[in-house]
Amino acid sequence: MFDVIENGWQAFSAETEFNRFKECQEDWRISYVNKDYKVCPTYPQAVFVPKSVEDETIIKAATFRQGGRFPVLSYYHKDSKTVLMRSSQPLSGPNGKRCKEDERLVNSVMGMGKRGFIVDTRAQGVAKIAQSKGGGFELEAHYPQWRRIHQPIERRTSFHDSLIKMIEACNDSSSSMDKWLSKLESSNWLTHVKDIITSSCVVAQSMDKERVSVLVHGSEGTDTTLLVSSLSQIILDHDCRTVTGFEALIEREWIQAGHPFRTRCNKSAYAITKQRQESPVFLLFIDCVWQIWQQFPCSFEFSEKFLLTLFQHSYSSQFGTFLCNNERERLHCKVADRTVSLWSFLNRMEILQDFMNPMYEPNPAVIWPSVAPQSLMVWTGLYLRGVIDQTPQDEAWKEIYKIREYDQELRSKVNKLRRQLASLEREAISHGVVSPPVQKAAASSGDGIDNMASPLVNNSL
Amino acid sequence: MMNNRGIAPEIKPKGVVESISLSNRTAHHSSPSNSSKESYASVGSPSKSLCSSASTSSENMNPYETKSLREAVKSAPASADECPLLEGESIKDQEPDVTYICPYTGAVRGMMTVTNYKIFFKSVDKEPALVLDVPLGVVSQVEKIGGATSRGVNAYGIEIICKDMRNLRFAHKQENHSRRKVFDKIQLYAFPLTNKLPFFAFEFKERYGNGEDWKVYDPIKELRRMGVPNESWRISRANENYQLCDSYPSLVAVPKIATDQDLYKVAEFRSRQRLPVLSWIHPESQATITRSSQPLVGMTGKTSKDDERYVQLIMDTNAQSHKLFIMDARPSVNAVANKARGGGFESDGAYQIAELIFLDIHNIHVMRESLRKLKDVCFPTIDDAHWLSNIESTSWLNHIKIILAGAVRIADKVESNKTSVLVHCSDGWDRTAQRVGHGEDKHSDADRSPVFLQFIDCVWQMTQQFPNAFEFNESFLITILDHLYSCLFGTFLFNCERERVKERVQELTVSLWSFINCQTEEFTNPLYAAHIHQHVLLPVASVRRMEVWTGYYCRWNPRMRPQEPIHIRNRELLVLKTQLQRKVEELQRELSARNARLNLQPSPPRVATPDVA
Repeated sequence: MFDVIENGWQAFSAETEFNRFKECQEDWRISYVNKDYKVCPTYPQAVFVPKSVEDETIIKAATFRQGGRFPVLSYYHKDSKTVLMRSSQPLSGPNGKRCKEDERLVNSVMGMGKRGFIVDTRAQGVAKIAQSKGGGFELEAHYPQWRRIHQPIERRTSFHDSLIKMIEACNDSSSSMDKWLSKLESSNWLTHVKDIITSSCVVAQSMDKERVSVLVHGSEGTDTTLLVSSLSQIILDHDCRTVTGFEALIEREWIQAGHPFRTRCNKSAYAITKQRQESPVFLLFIDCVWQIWQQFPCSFEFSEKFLLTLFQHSYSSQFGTFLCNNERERLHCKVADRTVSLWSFLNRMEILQDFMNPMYEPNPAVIWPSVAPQSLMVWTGLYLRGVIDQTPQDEAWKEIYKIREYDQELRSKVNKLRRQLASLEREAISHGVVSPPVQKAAASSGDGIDNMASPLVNNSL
Repeated sequence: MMNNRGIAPEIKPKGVVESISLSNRTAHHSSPSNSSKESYASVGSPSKSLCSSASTSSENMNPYETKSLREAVKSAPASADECPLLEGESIKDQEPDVTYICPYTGAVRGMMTVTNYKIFFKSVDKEPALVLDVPLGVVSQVEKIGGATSRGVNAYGIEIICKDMRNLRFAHKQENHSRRKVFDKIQLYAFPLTNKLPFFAFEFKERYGNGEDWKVYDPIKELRRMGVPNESWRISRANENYQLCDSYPSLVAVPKIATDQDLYKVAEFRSRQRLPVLSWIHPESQATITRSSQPLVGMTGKTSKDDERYVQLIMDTNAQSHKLFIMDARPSVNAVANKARGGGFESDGAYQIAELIFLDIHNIHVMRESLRKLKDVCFPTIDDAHWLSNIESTSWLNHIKIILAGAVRIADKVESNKTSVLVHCSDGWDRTAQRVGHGEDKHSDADRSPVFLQFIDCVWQMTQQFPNAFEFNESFLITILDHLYSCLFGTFLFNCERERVKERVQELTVSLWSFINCQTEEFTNPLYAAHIHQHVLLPVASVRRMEVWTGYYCRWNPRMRPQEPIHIRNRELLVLKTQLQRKVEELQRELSARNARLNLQPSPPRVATPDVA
């Protein structure tokens, strides 16, 4: 065992997370309407809702959403003062039912004359079929301030088929792999990755550039919805690209938000199984993060290894973090008492230092990933690690670490010598060996070093 | 607007997207090449048509030139329409009202300048301006599009087909045959050989470094490096005046026992007299790689006792093995077919000590076709849905794989089996040497071959597999390819040493290597760690491992702009490192000087040495 420095079970409580969105607390509040999990069995006890909407309205609105997953705050974007909400599909059904409370809840986000986008992760046709089966989408007439956009992502069942096909292609050891690329293409895995990142970009773009609020949902609101809502935050918020921020994001948008890890990650990721509930949704999330990571190698605080570790623990783990389907089940099984949190394990200096990205430079900007086909890669470090020797890559990273260390060393040496020089000078002056003007020259050379500390300023071409 | 750029959502909320920059991080991105560049200005149109987050770059792609080329420019352009000129470059024609039809941003009006070295285009109504700077050497073909009576906007103009994976389309005013002069000038200066003009390299007057331009590659020194001459190999001057083999250099390394007379006899039996000569010698095992052309076996199955003895001599130089591998780079079918043309391959009977292996590398015609397909896939637009299968259908990666696999096989024989290898194909230059077809117009198309490009591609594949093993970076490889075509330097001009000597290339032109060597910091791989890979690199030649070199083949696509300009940061960090190192030394010197001075002062008692912390 190890000493727990920070208990991962308490590290990301709803209250601390809500503090991340300080700027919006005038309009939003934490509601405990779900404290006994009656309103929505898959939501946590504490959810973020508009201040102007009372709990009774929420209870009624929840009946209009599949599984009771009413719209809640997922992310507040400071720069444009817009919000990202997520929910499940409305139960408008073939007759176009409506629900005043749901409309109030959704519309309360909007100021007068403002507009928002509802991003539906299903194709229009798929949404129509869902409507005929009792689900559906928000009708424009009832949500006049919202405009609906369909950003089709395939349903989660096809994710699993794609993964199996891709892994088959990766592990096909027959000597003539002349069909590698077409096999890879027909697995459609990279198409899913593209669709997901595309949808997330559209959400991020709407919030950052168009300055409108967004509500995301698919059908159940536990799979594609979470993919889009969490990836948009990676794009928009530099904090989500740090180790703690990323852990918080997973905790908030996946674990608390009720992604059913138990049913989705029941067997191993590549298992050929008949179970329709299995699906590598979380793996797709990690894969998409990796795609953005490799396009912006300096903007993430964590390394590829960190992503690999998270993927492994989501399937098989000695930790309780990814157990059960939702908070209610975890409470019922006393997971927090009987297991150790993955975050308790990870968030220790001796472990974390292996997961740090040596190239990291905090980058507060919004990052726009490319979804051009030549920009999306097969994640060699994961899918092909059994086939391709990773040693040269590992060695490259070691070299980067070394350069970084050496750089640090040189900097501290310069500082040390500078201090030494300054004090020698003081001493010399006090003994009258050197006259003060010399000190001036020394001071200016000191400034030179200060400037050098920021290479981007000094050496930019 | 193109529909397959980046995210193309079917339904778009009105005006959701305007233009979004590719990266908010830095305003300047470097284009990795220095010889041809295109600068993009606000690509995103303000319309609601899609420029999605991913696809557009609104920042000015500042044309990044490497330091030296920048300095070579005589003077900075004074006005907007002026075109920067190199030393020795002169303007041949200027057309003020030309439209460049950019496949990514649409039509752009501007001024087109043709010099004896390049086509230069600068837009007039765009801010910041779009700049095209294309050396004429990359032009493979110029075509007239439309006629004086053609209807439609921009229907009349010229199309320039380039060797560097792009085509350029310009539209001209239909009045007064306005394209005629430009067209003629391009035809004239892009194909100097056809028009009996000198290459621009002979007019380029810049000098780099210490003027030791051509000393970089000294054949004797290079052979010395391999330990030749030694007890089994000697340097022969039999080809001093290129009388032995006109496409070989004047100095060749051959087995010590073979006399110059022997060499002549062997050369007779080899296609174009390219007899087996030493290419590389293993520093420890003395196993060698020799290369030649095919033996002239022909339909009748001729043999040559001299050639057999010579091959035996090559084997004998390596005491470690009693065998020699002959690697025929061709597919066996092609080798057999070559018999009909008098060529062929070494028969088992005649060369009993040798084992013949075919490496299945296809000929230049197949490679050229594959590259043509690759260009179609990569330029101008990329089909999102079928990118991978399109790439597969070009077979390019497969060819690269086979070449790399052949190289690995040879390396394995030499390294692991300590056995010498003789490599040849038909003429012994397609798959070892190369033909670019400099300065000739399209008639010579059939002889042009992308073999050198494939060599560089293979090197790039290896840099991908072994990030620490190469001292140079991607930009180095791209620069080499750019100047392979640019005709700015003499290094790649002409086909063999004989021609280069005849044309006095060394005296009259600049070497690409001196250009590169005076700015090594641009081309250094910061991850290079000589200590890790001191020995043989055996790359994995599997299709799964082969990647499309998008940094080269797709570089004109604005979606290819680097997301984060890593190489700029690399360069900055390297500069910083040397600065810091210098500073440390300086401070140390100063410190010791001061210490010495303090100690010289006799009277005041020394205060405790300042805390160094």
